[in-house]
Amino acid sequence: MNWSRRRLAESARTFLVLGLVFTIIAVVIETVLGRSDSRIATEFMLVTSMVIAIQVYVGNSGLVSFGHIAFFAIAAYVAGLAALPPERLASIAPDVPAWLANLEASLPVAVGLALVAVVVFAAFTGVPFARMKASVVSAATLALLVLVHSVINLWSGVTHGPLGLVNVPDLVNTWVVLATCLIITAAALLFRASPWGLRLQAVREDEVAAAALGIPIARTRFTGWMVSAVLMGLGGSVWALNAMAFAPAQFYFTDTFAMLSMLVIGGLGSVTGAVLGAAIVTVLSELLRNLEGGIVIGGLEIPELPGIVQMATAVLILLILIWRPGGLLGNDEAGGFRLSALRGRSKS
Amino acid sequence: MTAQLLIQQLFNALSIGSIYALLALGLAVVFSVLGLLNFAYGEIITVTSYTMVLLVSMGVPLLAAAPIGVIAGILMSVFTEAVAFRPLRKAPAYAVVFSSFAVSLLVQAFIRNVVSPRPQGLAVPAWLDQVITIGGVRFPALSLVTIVIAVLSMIALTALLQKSKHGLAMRAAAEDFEATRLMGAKAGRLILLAFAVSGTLAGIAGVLWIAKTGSATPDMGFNPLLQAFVAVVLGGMGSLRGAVAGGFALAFVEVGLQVFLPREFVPYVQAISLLVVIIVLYVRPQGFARRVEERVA
Repeated sequence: MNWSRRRLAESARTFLVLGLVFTIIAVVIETVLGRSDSRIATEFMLVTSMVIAIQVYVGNSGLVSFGHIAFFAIAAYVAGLAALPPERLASIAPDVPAWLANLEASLPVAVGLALVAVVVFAAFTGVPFARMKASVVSAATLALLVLVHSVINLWSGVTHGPLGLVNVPDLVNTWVVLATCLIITAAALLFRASPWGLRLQAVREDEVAAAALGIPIARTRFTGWMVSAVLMGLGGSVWALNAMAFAPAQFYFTDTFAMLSMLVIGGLGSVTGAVLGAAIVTVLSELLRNLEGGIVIGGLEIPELPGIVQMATAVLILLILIWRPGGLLGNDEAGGFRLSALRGRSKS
Repeated sequence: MTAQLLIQQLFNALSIGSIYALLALGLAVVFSVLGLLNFAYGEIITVTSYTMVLLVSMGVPLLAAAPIGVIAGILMSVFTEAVAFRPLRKAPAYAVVFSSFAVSLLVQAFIRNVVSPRPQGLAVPAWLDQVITIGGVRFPALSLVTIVIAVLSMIALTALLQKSKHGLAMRAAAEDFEATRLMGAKAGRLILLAFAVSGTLAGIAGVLWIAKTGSATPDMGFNPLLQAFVAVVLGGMGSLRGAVAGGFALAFVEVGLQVFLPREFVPYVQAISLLVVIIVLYVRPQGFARRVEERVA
């Protein structure tokens, strides 16, 4: 199977659109926004890039993975531990091996180490997962997330337990964030257009037919898993060096659900959809977050509503799934030919 | 290790395993018919537990509260079917993962807002807290009750599947859903029945669970969900016999790890048992049971 020029052109056009959006956000951060707003904006860019990384696997394979948050956590912790100076590490994580503790890594080294860790972990887990029945993968990746989360939570000599890492050096500026977004977006679009991506989509649409065409199912799924993991590792490590402090609770259900819901709402099969979904959920959360602590509107006192953001997202997901199971955009990209418009409404 | 200790730990594993087996069975019943996992399955345990906590706090005796708790569990299961499964019957599998996951979070958020985010305690009557000691081995009354109820439930399920017409339809659907429809079974009613049976099993497991843990929290459904997943995956997805075997296997692995691991590793039991599961799947991607041998009950 060769590269399709039409698919590449579609990906290139989509990249121009999404790249422009990210660049505009970055320029706005640098020129207009104050410190707290620019935090929200860079956070949005990095979360979006991680949603795109998840899309590479979930979108192309049609298999739900909760395990990507585990990659995120591993990347964040490895990058954070590598970047922290030894004297700060000694007080919060005394059991870190000396070579890592004394490293005080620069940005490329910290990200590189995080990527190595994620690749090893993804390769170890990817082999059995690629051979599983599709319906089991979601449950197995959930188990993976629980495993990683509980290890991070308990291994306090290295991870500082439930308190997490603090005072991680801020090695990231807006342009690094932008570059990360652009690399991940480009890679996701390229994978989507590539023969490997196409094979994975074929397996998603009809496993039996794909196998009959000679597509090696397990190997195809494994490739998607690895590409997606590497991108997740990149996004996660840059996120960690931007966030400066994080704790295990940030790598669990609330965030898994937030990221996956961005993907579902925007459209699972589309990179543009991942960005759109991330925007919708972020705006919705920022609007509703004010309600969580209870507020007074025009003399009317609204009581505390813990978890209102999660509740609203859950309702939104249910409604969108019932209305359009493929999410808002389905499989369509910003630079696409809208093939689905010719075929009638997209089924997947 | 002394024989006493061995018997003690075997008994513990047997009692935990009966709850896991019930949980796994309930999940597998739906999976065998639909080929889909219910991510709101844990909330059946949650709803059963909160119903019991509420009733017992109002002065209803535990034995009367238990069946009402099971009924609440069945209603939760049927509700999940109506909200997350039925509207998405033609949608791809991943859509149902998300919709059932969304229902699970909705129920949790609802409990946090309407009841309380804090744990709610259940007063367990004294007779359940008794411990019978025979030859130095302790048999807690609750564990004995758990094993008896689990065995009775499994016998009842087997009878339902083997002797009734609906049971026959369910067994047939597990083999080939489309063919079963063509034979005249009503798909909608069959799926509803599967969810009702699933809710019954999870509700019974929920009663035993809350009696054991003694308190209910909004996210308490997660651990039982995970144990059921693991047991079902180990048992070879959709095979009911496999699910029971998987439930007991998981319990024996957990108890074994607790006994043999050095003390500082005991908190890692859950992580290590999940690792064991991944390694098992590495060797046998389809779990213990094979598709060909698969027969319901």
